[in-house]
Amino acid sequence: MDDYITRVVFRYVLLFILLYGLYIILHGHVSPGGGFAGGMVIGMGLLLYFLLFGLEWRAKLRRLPMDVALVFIGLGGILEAVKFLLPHEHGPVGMPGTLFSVGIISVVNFGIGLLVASTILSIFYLLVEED
Amino acid sequence: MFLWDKLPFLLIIIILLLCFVMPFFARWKPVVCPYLTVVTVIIVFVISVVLTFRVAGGEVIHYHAGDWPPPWGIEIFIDELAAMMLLLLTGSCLLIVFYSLKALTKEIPGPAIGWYYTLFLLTLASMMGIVVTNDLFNLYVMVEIVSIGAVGLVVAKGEKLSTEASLRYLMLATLGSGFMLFAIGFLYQVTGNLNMPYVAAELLEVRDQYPFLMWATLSFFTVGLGVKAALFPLHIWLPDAHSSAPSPSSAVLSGLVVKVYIISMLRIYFLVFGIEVFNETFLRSLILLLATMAILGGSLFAFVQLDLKRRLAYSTVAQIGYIFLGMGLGTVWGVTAALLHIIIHALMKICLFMSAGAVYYQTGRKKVIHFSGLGYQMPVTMAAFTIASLSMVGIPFFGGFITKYGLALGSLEANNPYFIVLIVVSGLLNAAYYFPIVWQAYFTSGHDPQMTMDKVPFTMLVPIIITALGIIYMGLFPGRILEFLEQVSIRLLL
Repeated sequence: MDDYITRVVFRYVLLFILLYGLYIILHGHVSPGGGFAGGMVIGMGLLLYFLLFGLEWRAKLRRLPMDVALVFIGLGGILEAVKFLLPHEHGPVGMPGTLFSVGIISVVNFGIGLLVASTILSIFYLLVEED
Repeated sequence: MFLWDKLPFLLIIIILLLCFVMPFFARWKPVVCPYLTVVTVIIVFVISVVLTFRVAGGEVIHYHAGDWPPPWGIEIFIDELAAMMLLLLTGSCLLIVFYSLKALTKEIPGPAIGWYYTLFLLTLASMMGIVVTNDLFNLYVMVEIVSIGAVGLVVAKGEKLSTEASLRYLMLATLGSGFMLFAIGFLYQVTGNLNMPYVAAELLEVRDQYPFLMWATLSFFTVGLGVKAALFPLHIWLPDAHSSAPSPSSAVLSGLVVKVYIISMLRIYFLVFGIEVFNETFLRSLILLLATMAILGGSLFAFVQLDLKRRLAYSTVAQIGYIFLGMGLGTVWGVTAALLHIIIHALMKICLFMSAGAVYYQTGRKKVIHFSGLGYQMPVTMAAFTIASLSMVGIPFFGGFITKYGLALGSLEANNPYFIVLIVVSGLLNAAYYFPIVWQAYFTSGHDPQMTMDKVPFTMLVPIIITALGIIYMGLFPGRILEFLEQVSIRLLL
């Protein structure tokens, strides 16, 4: 997209979007939100980035986000699958209500976030490839 | 030991895991995907055989996901019915995967093959999830995943016709899921539980206070699952979707996907609501009426189709009618015959669709009128096709006869002897649209017949032969499986 203001503003806003997404993911167990919402935010942020700056890339690199997303879908899926196999009391469990209190659930939330962000990216790229 | 306890869950999670990993291979190494799928399905088949042995030893398997006990957590529950369905699903999918190794190369575009197997595994995993879950909301989630996977299996062909059909399928399936979600919401509102035995226990106490809600919930379940199971007036998506899909997907969709919804319907009607509600709300009369319409209407529609796969798809509508007829009769023999027909129809339809695909693979013929002389060009395939057709019609010594016999006994048990007439008439109708194909293949060749072997790969031929042998086995030695299914249906109708 060839708009000066958007590019300048977004260059700085992107960091905050990604940070906010990470915040939502990591606080999934103590506040509203969680893996899905946070992953959505991260995915949208990355999507906006590729929409704004993707056209300047070399044509060979333009498929890269999709490929990376495919790898991360696999990783997120493995994290997700492990969750169901372990009993619910496991990992380092700390003080309830604090950030690092739920053991592996944080990791799993992170897996969901990865999955959702990568899925959004890959859906977008599949649609772009159509035409 | 760790894995031995988790076995029921591994069954589903292994495949779902592969679905997440498969896109990676589909992108970079598409050659690996079919073999990966074969290995996975073999592992799952072995697991379900092990589980079946455990269930046959008198154990009823309860597994609590993440160790959360039932009223809160998701419970996986494998009884005889679930074990039977697991064995049927994984066994047939194993045959279909072997078949699709070669068959797919002619039917869908090359780059799509890796993605096709992803969707195939997704459909298999969620079908098994529907069968083994004991939680209503989990059931809903699995139903949604089956819809998505099945629509994907239809659209994989990438033609205009299959795209249109899959869009219609998607819309109607979503509508059905919506109805189901409403019904589950009502049940949760009334009982405060989602686990099926708990819902059933609560309903026993509160169902007299909410008569209209019971009507609404039951009708929502009937419409929602009826759309997906292609009960007659709601079947309009089925013929297009099943006939325009690639033939391995047609086999999965027609043989297995519509059946798992019927299993969950059986559970909801008989285990959650109980047979009294089923009788009091006239649901039984409705299902009997719709099943009658399905049997006659499906056969009559099939009669006028010229495309072979379309004819087979309409035949599925009629055969689903048989299963619903057995369910609506509500007697031990009726439900036994319905359960048996789930197995036998799966075998027959998979055999027929695979044969149709093999004919398309070798000769490129789709229309029924172009089948003349095929019996000499493809003797093995057409022999299997003939066996399945004879079984469809209900000739003795083939599987289909046993279910028709069971349904007739069931209708006598239910004091409704008119249904025997229906069964006989529908057998004649089946003969009217299956036998011309067989007749043409064997007896109307224009020039002098030259006997040659099928030029179809080995991996396609063997599954066809196995299903045909299965049909004959079911017809000759139905005793043990009938005994087993009778136990299952007695427990359902208790």
